[in-house]
Amino acid sequence: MGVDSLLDDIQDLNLSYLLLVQRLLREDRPTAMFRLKLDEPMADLLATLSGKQLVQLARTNQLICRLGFDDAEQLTKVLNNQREQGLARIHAALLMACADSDVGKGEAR
Amino acid sequence: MSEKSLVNEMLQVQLAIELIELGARLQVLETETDLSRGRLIRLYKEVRGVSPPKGMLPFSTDWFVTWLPNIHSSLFYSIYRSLVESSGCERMEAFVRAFRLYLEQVSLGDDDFVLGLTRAWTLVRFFESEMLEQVRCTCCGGLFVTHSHAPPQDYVCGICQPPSRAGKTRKRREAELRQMGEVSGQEGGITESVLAGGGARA
Repeated sequence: MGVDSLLDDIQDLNLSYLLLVQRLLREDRPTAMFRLKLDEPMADLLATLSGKQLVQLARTNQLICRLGFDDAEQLTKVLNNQREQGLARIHAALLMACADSDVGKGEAR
Repeated sequence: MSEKSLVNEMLQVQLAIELIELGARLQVLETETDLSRGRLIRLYKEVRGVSPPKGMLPFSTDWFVTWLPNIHSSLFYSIYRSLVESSGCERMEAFVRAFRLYLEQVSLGDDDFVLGLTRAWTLVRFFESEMLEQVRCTCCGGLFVTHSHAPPQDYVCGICQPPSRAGKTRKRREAELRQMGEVSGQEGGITESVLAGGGARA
């Protein structure tokens, strides 16, 4: 596969992502912010972008959105659980849902 | 002056309907809306077609720390907390949204709904009265529901380290037997047989 087609794929994905963000935010802002892991200023900004601005943002050789997990070790544990009880999906969802919380991190409360 | 705002009342009715549709018991509605008990009962009958169940709500924090309920409660509470903290949602707004997100996530898999709406609401109330809190699993880093003042050191969650009999319910065994009988290696097998067995709705 040529570099050109990869670049196209990245830009397509960027634009699809941005359009999805706008659609979700329009439908139900708080739920969308949870699904997308966006904070308020970013949600407000992305919701107001024009079509032209979306295309502008999407045209880059880097992906505009990031992975919902930032710790490979954590994700390994979800995927390679020796005593898996069919809970991998719910485990992954739980870890993403509490990724931004500070509870129990560092000093004890 | 003492006249009630019509808009406010309409919003309350809307909230009550939404909660009833999601499976709320009368006690939840009485606590979370200003509507009279009589109107709530009428509303309940109109929405559900039956009278509201009588009796007390389960009042124990213990259910939330048993194996599978703990996992589902922890997922729900993390969603709820995220909505309250980062999307500027008001408490009940966040609650209804979090519950819908929880149902949505669980329905993606072959899991049964373990946490009903009334249980979820009780869970939030237990957190508000500081009878329950979240603790971080030292293995996977996820947040889980636990009794307040339980020692947080060395906590390992029920997914990383399931108890020895975890998940070996009769229903699951039957489902597995049935699947073995079918010989087909289809992925949807368990889902269908579990669904046929009737999803346990708390």
